[in-house]
Amino acid sequence: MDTESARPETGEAEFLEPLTESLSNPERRSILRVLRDRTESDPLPVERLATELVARDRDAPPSTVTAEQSDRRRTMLYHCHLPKLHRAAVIDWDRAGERVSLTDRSEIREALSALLPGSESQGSSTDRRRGSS
Amino acid sequence: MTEVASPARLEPSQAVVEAVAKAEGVGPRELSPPLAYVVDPDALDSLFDRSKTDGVVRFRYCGYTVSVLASGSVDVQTAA
Repeated sequence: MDTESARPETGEAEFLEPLTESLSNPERRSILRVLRDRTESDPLPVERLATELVARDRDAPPSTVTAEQSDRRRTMLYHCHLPKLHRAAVIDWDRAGERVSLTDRSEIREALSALLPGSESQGSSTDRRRGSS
Repeated sequence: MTEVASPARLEPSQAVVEAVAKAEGVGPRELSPPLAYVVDPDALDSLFDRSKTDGVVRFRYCGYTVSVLASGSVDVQTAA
């Protein structure tokens, strides 16, 4: 059957398919959580993103992660995950400057918060409680 | 250090970028464009991850012909 013709032609949800595809991967969900949970608005250096991902996996402070430990992670950010998230328009990626941030597009941010619940409100799988020593 | 690591240690996509970087004599993140602009790394990694014992995927990347074998090993040849 011709399913293409059943899609809305307004294009209002055309960002949803690449977005959900991106979110089907656990590493990319983690990346978006890191970016979403930031309080700073300036773009995040990719090196620090890799460090944060390793730290979350280990439930350890980022300061304990060495560059060597996050190196391979950082490589796959560059070769796989950041290009895909960039293509899905969910992040802004400065490839040469090695910095990344969530997109400013409000419709994508709204879709993201629906598709990726669990910052403070839901606890999610990471269950981190920052600042409560 | 001359071999691409075993499939148990590296996903095919990781093995590819490390092998091509090595052939080029650069770091893996110095390769341009990123691998995702040439093949889908997720697809590459899922292709052989279910007890497939033979088969090969071949593509061009950064001037090399890259062959990913079902065993997980990666072969890199200068493209003709």
